[in-house]
Amino acid sequence: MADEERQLILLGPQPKYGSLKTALAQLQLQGPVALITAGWETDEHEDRELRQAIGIESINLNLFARTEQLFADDPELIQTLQARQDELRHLRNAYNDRLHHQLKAARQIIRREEHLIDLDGERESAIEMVRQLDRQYFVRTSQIIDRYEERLQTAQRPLVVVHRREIGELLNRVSAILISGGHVAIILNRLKIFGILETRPELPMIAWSGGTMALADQVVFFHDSPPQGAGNPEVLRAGMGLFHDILPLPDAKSRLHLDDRARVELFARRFDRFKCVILDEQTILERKNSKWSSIGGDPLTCLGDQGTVVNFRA
Amino acid sequence: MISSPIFEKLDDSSTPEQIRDVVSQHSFPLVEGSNVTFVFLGDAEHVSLRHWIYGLPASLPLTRLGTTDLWYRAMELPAGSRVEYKFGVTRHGHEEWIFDPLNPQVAHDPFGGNSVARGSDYVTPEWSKKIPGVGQGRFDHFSIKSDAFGDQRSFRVYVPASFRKYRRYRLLVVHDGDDYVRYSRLNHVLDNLIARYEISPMIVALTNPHNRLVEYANDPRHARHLVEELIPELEKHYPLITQGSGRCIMGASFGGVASLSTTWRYPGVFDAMLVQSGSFAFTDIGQHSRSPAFDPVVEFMNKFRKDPGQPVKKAFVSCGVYESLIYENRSLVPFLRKHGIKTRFEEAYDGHNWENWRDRLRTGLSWLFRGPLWETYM
Repeated sequence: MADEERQLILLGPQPKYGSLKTALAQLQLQGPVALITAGWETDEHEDRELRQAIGIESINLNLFARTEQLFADDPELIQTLQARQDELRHLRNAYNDRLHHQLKAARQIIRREEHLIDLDGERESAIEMVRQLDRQYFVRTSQIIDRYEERLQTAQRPLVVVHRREIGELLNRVSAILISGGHVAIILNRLKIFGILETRPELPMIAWSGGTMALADQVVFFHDSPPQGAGNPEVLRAGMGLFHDILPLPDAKSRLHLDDRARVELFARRFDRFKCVILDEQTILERKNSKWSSIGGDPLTCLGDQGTVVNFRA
Repeated sequence: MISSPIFEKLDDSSTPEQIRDVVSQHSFPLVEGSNVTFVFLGDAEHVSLRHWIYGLPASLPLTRLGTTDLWYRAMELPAGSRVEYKFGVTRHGHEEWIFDPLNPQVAHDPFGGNSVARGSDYVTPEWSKKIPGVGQGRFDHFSIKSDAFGDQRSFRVYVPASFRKYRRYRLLVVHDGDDYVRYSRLNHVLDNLIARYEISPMIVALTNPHNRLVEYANDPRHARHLVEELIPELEKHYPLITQGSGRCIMGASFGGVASLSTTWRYPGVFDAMLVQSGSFAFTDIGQHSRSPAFDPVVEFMNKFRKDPGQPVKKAFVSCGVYESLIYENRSLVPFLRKHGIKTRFEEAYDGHNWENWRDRLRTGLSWLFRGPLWETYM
């Protein structure tokens, strides 16, 4: 089964696990479910409230704890990953320096009102410069990651093999995989190290917030008014690539200035390869038989290229 | 004199009923763009605006509207300003300082409090309020014997709601800790910013002086107490990061001086420092003109300016533009930067008060102890 065919439910933040319960009911699961709460880092095992909300047997795969153990037992792995991280960090700094200026220019040109001349071409050109930078950065990060992976051969490392086998046995007992939110890069790295998507690709998957971002084609961080930094949405790197048409924006109502037309327009047009879908507490976005649809009352919304939030149609 | 539109409806022939009717239709002080009108209603021989805006006369008289009992004063106040004030009301030759009876906005401080005038665009930060549903940190109470001071020292420790004993935490040591909690709502600020992932969860030691003006003015006993007594005690009870990279020291006014002098005496113990409206008085020549309490401060600052060393790696400095210390704080910033200390400076249209210090905490703490907001989507 291809990744694109896996049944998938994407959710927004889960402070009370409301939409998660609805999603689980939709799947009508019989057997236990696997939990991935690695995004909570050292709080990974603080999953009692989540387990209660799920209401059926659940097995936490403990991916964060497994990785910590792996790093302790396989120093070469952690040293190589740290070296990779150093390279990526330097590249990211250079990307952010360029991004800052290009986004500033694009915002200015989008906001500029001229009555004597049509600036649509200039706007598109300014946005295309940002897209080009994103593409270049995306390719460069992928190259670095691939180069290190050639050295690491993660899947063949003896200790990784042991963990993967154990995880495989656990996944053989479950009827779905649930991936919580949290620190996106950590979720992404753990999913890759343990080859989660490669084992039993027929299992339905429910992910929320940061978990949805890790599953996407590419990870894009965003916040329009962080206490520090410019608040420039930035591409992190490739995600798990479980879907290619949607860019999930969890908690967008609080993280983005959705009433700022220029910012919304720039975001939507910059990432026009995707539908930039807003995932809020009530949102339930399901992919079944390769088609996206909404479960529940509220209509799905996404960022529109005219600078407003519009209804999402798959 | 700036006129206010409300007086288009009133003149010296207005009856008390007409005046009260117009006044009741507005909230005071009346903010109209960058104009603010202060109004006092009542019998008096003289009424003045008592404020702490450096550069303006400390007492600004209000004008009586004809022979009515309405007194007013309009002034310009830049957008985003916050000004604390009282009315000086003179009756029978005696002046009494009172809160503005028409203004419910009050800020408290160790001296009682003041009325607050908020310029246009000023909004009390949401993150400074107690928000239902946000996990609240707890306070642990300690009392330790201090060899440095030769007495017993009590302090509280803020422990974040998400505290787990197997994690390692950063430590923030706060001067005037109880006042920061009481007047700047430090505990709510920490609860909210931690819950929003804007700052990392941290252990916060809320210290308090016995003799503030002495202990905070470069007193070697104070620095020794914090570094050799308080921190080791905290490290016994909490899983703290035990290097300078995990520690920050913070204080306002004389507490800012105490922060700087402690880090100067013990370089490397704290990598980060957050100082607000620090009383960093110094002289380039001659004597200072402040009160005698500043003598040891000036002596310290002059020494520090000659031989700063590298007390911390990162410093956040804030100050109100309406306070006299703005000159000293503005001077400190390039000085710190010149000596290799990564420094961020924030000015505000505010004065030497606890709400100014509260309002700057988000920028300061999130810069020094950055949380995982950008990467985390719960």
